[in-house]
Amino acid sequence: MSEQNANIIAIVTTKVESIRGGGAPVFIRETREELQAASKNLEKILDAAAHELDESTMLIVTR
Amino acid sequence: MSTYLYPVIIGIAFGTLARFLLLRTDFRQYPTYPQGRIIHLSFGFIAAFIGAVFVPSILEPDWTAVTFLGLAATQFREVRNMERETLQKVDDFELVKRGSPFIEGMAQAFESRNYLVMFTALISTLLSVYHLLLGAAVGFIMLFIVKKNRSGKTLKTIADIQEGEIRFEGPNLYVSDIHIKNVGLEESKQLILERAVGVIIVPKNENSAVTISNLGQRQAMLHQVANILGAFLDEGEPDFIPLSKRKMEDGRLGLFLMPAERDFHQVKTVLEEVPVLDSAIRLPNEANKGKQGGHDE
Repeated sequence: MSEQNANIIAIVTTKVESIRGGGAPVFIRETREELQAASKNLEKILDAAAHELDESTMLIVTR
Repeated sequence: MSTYLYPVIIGIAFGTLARFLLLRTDFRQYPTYPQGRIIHLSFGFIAAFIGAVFVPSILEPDWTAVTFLGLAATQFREVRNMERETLQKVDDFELVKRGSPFIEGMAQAFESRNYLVMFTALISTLLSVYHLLLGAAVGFIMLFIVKKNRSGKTLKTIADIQEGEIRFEGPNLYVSDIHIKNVGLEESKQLILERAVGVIIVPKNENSAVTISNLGQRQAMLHQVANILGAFLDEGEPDFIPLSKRKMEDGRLGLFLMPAERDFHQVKTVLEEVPVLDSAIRLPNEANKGKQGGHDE
């Protein structure tokens, strides 16, 4: 089966104060629509999966 | 010398015929047509030849020949390696992979079929030495047995297949009560609600619960559905990759599938015919684990 390690390669958020630390670039957006649009583009560009952590934050994850 | 000619011919004929019967190129397009078929038919012919010639060399008796034939028979182990290698290379380019356990099962089948051929040839030659008609009759019986034993168990004998409802709780995708994964994009969620088929696989007993938990068995199910019914999928679209998740409490399996056409009945029919992999079969019921009167421990 596929290996189990997932990597967060980008974060898109509307609430930047809820994120600390580095490792992945953080993209800041104003509204939920912009959040969705940016995540969709990043998903297509990176061939990765977009997951929703909470209302304001999306994680772009590769496996 | 010529006393053995006809028995050997009968043996080879029935052996090769057995390989013909066992070779079936179906929807899997494997063995590939026609190259793969030629490879296997010639292997079958060689196996039949070895089996058939074995008898005269023992009856003669020519022990050098027997030794060499025994040696030649072991070479058929290579068939398994050959099949495994090819299938594994091809598997890298499948959208939904077969998985190594499925490949191992297929490779084993190819090897064992050659031994069956050898055995058929051996038996029919042996009996043809006494009487040609007897050999031919037994050859037909062997063909029948071989054909009957061609396929193993299928999924429907060990599990019930039910439809599961696809639903979202926030970003979390569920098939009935089994959590599958987290989907972030609204667009993907919409597509999943439109096109996905959810399936719940309920094991019939303790043994089958372990069997269907095997990752290879689960991958085989996903592959079979994607292979026959098509997959709404492309490279770099991880949101739509079919997945199987296990409800750990009771061993039920939730399948998330995106076939080209949304029709549960087709999916069910395909899943029922998924072979149960040899490597996945477990029989914990038959083991002694100190279980008394239905209580654990």
